[in-house]
Amino acid sequence: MTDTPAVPTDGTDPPARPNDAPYREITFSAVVLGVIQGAIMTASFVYIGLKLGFGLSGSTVAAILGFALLRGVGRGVLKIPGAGSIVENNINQTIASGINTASAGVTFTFPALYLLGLQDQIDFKLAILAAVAGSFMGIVIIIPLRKQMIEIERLKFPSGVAVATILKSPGAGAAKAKRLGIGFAVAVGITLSTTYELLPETLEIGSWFLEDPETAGGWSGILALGTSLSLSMANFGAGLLSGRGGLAFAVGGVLSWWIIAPFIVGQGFIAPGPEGVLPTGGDLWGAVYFGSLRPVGIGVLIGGALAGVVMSYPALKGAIKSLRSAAKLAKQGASTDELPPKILVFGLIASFAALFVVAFLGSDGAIAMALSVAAAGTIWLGLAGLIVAQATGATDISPLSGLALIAVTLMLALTANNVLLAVTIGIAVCVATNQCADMMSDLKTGHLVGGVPRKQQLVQFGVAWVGPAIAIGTVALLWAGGENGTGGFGEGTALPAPQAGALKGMVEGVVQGNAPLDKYVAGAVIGGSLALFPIAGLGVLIGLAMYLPFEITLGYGIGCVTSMLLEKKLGRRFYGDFIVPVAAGFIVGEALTSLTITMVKLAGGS
Amino acid sequence: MNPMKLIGFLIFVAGLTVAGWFASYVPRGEELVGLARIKVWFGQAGVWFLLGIGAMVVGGLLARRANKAPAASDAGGDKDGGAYRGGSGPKHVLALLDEIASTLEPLSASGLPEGSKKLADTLDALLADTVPDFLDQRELLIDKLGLETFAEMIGHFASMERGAARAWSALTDEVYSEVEPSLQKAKDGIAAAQEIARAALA
Repeated sequence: MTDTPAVPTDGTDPPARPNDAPYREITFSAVVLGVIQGAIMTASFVYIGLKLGFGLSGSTVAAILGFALLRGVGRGVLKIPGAGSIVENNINQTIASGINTASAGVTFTFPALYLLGLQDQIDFKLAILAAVAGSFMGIVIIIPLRKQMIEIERLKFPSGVAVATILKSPGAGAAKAKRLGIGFAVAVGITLSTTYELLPETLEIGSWFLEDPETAGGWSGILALGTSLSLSMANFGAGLLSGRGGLAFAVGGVLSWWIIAPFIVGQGFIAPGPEGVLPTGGDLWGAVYFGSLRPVGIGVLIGGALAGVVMSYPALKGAIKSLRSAAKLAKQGASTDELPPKILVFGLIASFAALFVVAFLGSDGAIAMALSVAAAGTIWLGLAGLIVAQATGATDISPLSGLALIAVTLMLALTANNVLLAVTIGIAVCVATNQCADMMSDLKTGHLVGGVPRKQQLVQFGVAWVGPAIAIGTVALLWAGGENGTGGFGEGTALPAPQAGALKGMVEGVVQGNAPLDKYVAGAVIGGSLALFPIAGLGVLIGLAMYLPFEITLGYGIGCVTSMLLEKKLGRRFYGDFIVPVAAGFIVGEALTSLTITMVKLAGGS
Repeated sequence: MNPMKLIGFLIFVAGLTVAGWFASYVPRGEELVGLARIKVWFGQAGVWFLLGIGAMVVGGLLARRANKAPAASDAGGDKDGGAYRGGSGPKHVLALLDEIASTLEPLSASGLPEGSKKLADTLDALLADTVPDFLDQRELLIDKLGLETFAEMIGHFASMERGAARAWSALTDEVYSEVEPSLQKAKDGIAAAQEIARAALA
């Protein structure tokens, strides 16, 4: 790093002198590249979501492309001094992934309207307005939550750390780059092996001890059936990065699948099969997971988040006070990293107004209903934002579909089963929560590379409307791509839309009165009580553990314990120098390999 | 873990287990729709569920009370041959803040680009070693400062972290004009954090 550019004597252009240039952060090229990447990813990932039922984060892809294009082309080819700086690339990936948040938010909800046969009643302007309101609201909620989660609670945000590791790699030294490469290579190898069935995606550890898993029953049957381990290296890597901070999540998985599940099966607490006999094998697992643990987990998430707001009220107050102090300093001409709290107030009011307009027009002018829907929607958006911020901060996992499910259930209750309106508000909630998860992760990246949060949030505000419009337009286009311009996705087509199909089933269940309200209520009471124990975010972590199958929590937990043992034995420096780059390699390697395989498969028509 | 906290923890986990068992109970009966489902579930599993919740409340409050006792750091010593960092208490916290401030104080961009590697290494060590040592004292600080003051103090501390990280990034990007203002921001942040911590802990 001791280059002193000299004027060449061979007639070639002099090299750029980056050390004289201003530090590039928000630049035209970063914004344009971010918007283009975000737009392409949104349309592509909507397609993938309808085809495969899962969403993809764009941060890692955008960060790597940013290096190639902003730094490689900008600095190397176009000779722009200082192009592709670390913080400029942070802005690029913030924009790209921020736009892409709409893909999962819309794909999990909006297509359900088509599957429910309501396509002729869809008001696209209202759907887009709801999604855009959600997108803005997601950023607004983050203003105080950033201080709460990143600065005060110090959550890990594993994906944010992984992206920061990529961004910092040019200056991190050869050893760390090598470790990042090793982690990447291992993840690529394992992901390819599981995709092409050289290795199973999940090790059914418990089933190894069963003679016939399909006839296994009773408490020992569910203990064995529930014990499995995902071979996802990203999941293991997230556990490695979280260390002790994520242990409560792993303990929640153990509690759910090794203590609660065997007891409730042994005592016959679960729903019996059609002939009054307790199910066995896969049906038993499904009855325990879908009938008990998952709905209780959703309740725990909600209760834990609500109680968390109450318990951390002084910290939130302190966070807002410090935002106010920063705003005062800014008025006196000092530079500040923070957006002023009045944007939070303005954003909440604007979001309420947008949801009110959607509800008012969607309910044919019922003012009282529209007011209650807008108020409940805004409050739920805030709470759901808090839940995903805490969940992704500690574990990298966002319970998006569960939160959308509760939003739609709530809205169905408030609108006397107006499905069209309930799902439309559900779009806003789903987009907002995904926006929260992504924005928090990007802000964590920014924190680690020295980005300015205010700048990241401002660019995100500037492009928040882009993703929803593209995502909704893509869904409409794909629907029209079917025979006779209709039926382009859903069961029996090449795009089965699994998440929207699940939402459709849930909506039909709620309309018929079959929602497991008892589980939600009991879970919420447990979640509220969990907040009494002096571990921040415990309710959300335990709720998330109940909400997920054990294969994920177990893999993550092994990562946490491994990280703790290594750090204890080899010291803190080892964590930063070894665990962080290797784990980042795991996360990035799996994300990029999965994306590539998916694209290749889709291009090949399989 | 002190005995009261351990007892609180055990009661809490026992309560959570019982509450989890009975929350998972699927109610039996005809026409279990809407609110009727909650009523029937509560009738069949409510007593045990509430017992579990009661134990969680008692255990949680005991653990919270135990936590109010002087927090002791469980951080181990630095195994990399650096200074032993296993201390705790207000004096230790102030000493760590002083250490960060004194590390930052002499740093300057005036000798760049020659000294850039050394400067980047110093910042790297600060962010990788000393900052986490300070953050290990989080519980103690919350206890002593209260959440609201802690939030204000840690906001300034985070500003220091961002400043130091930005200086490191600017060094890596070889944009040396950005290094000095970033270092200054880090120095201002730690000074403000020190001021709040001193006022509360001294």
